[in-house]
Amino acid sequence: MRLVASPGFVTACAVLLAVCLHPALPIAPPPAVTAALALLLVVGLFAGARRAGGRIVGLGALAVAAALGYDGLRGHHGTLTLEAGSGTNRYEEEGPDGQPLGLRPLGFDLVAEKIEPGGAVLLRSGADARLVVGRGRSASQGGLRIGLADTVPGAEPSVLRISVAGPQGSRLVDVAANAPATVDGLEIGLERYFPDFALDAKQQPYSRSNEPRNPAALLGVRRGSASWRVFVIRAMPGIHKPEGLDRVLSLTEVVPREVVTLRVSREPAAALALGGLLLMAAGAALEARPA
Amino acid sequence: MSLVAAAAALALAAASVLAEIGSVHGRAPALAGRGLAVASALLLVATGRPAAWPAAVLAVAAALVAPRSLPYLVAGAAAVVVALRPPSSSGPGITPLIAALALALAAAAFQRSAEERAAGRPGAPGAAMLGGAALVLSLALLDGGNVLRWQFGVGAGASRVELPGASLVLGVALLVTLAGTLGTSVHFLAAPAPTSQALSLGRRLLVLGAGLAGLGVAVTGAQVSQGGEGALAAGALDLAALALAAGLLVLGVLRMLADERPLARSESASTAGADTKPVLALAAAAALLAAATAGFEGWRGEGTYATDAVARAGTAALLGLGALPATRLGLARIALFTVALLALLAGAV
Repeated sequence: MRLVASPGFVTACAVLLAVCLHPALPIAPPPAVTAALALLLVVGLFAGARRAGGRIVGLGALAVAAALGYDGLRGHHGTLTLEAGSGTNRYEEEGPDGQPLGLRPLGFDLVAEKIEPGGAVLLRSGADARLVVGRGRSASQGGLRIGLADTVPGAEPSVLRISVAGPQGSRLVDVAANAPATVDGLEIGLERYFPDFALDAKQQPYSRSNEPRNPAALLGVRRGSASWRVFVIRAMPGIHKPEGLDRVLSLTEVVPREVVTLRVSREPAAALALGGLLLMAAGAALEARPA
Repeated sequence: MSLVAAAAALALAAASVLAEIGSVHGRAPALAGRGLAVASALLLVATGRPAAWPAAVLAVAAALVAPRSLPYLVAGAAAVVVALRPPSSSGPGITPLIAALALALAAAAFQRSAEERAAGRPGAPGAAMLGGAALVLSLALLDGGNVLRWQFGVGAGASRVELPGASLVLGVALLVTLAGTLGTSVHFLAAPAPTSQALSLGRRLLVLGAGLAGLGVAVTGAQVSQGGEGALAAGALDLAALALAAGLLVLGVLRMLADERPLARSESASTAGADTKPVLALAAAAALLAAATAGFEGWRGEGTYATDAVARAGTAALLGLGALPATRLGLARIALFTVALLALLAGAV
């Protein structure tokens, strides 16, 4: 017990736990190691406390450790992806390391009514419950907290509107990654997309940014056994006319897909963790008083 | 570039030097330094940029709660970032403000603890050695260690701006400061005598290194400013880190030169005699509060408290707890806590 109560023990546990928790650590330590260090720190804080402030810090640390442990065992995390107008009643649950655990029921229906360009999403749950989530704003529903995920794939403009000009006039088709379009017997697929097209020093194409400032694409076009690769760029319609292809393809527009990815979390002990941290802060502040 | 924030950064650097002079020559320079720091905080608020608030909190906390040269210097580095980054309408939130308060207190506790240790080892240029080590480390790490290859630039990809003139000055500063730090370290580790040739040479090289580092910061700032808004934004953190490290060395050299005079010892010892623990305990309390607000902001904004920001704030808070107990490696533990808070703030602004 003398070892556990020693200042060096508390220091070692706190520093090791800090290292384990830091997101820059290349390899995440096993949860059992982190939990063991947290418990040892709590025991050390209680055993080594000489004044009221130290005991309050220990009490707060106990509350935080209990909250994190409870949420680790009983909490849930996951994501769900919705298109504007679509709905779901389940989400893809993730484990502690982000590994997929399968679909889990939300316990209610969730419909994305509107997706704003800035990322704000108007959600409807049931008949009259309306929620708004966005950057820095999440909402609660049915014991779950719903927020915008860090990465919003739906915000990327990924549908290209292609004009196909031929003897009978022009037609417009939408082409997206893994979603080829068929028009006039031609199957048009997207091979590469450059939102902000440029050529590097070796004359190789690349994209300067993810913003569609100078969109261009390489399309794979097939008709029966014949196939062509056609380069289209919005700034220069119809620039590339491959031999044997009797159509002129041009990129006319980049249409943003209205899809959003939401993060879903159930953390029933969040309030206890917050209270524990505040208690620890109060205890540390009390330690500042002269003995 | 915000000229008002740049003026605040310069004023905070001056406040830092005044606080250092005040620790030797009495209250007047120290009071002038406090006034400059408060004026800098007002200037930072006057920029109208929410990103300037953490730097303003740092300056106010340094002036009112922890009036020492190191907190002023850290506040100056934060003001450099504000000056170089383009304005943003979104605020940084509450967490960086509380982290800034914790950082000012932790930096003051670190400096106080270092002074208490130095008081027991007269003639030892500990602060200059520490500043030299910080400068060598930052130069070796900045831009992926390119200074070691006589290259330096800011940004990445197509927006990268190479700074050939700055790389030359910084490379020479690195070599000279490394030699000076090693020279003084050799004396510490090997010579029982109060003075030695290694110490004498090391001191001179550290003075030269401080001058070259200051020149390097100026040349880098001038070259980056010619690269346009993109280069300024990309190089903001690098330039701030460089300015902080160079400032640490300059302050250390000032202290080293002051310690050569017999007057300095007794007066500087009297200011360093106060206990470190209350300031450190308050810094740890503020870091714990920052972790709590990060958790609340994550829960409210992203729907969960299991975010990277909370993990970083929690790490800093735990290192604060680890720095509190009276046991071995006290100075190293406070330094670790201060660096963690610095990293937390740098990631948040």
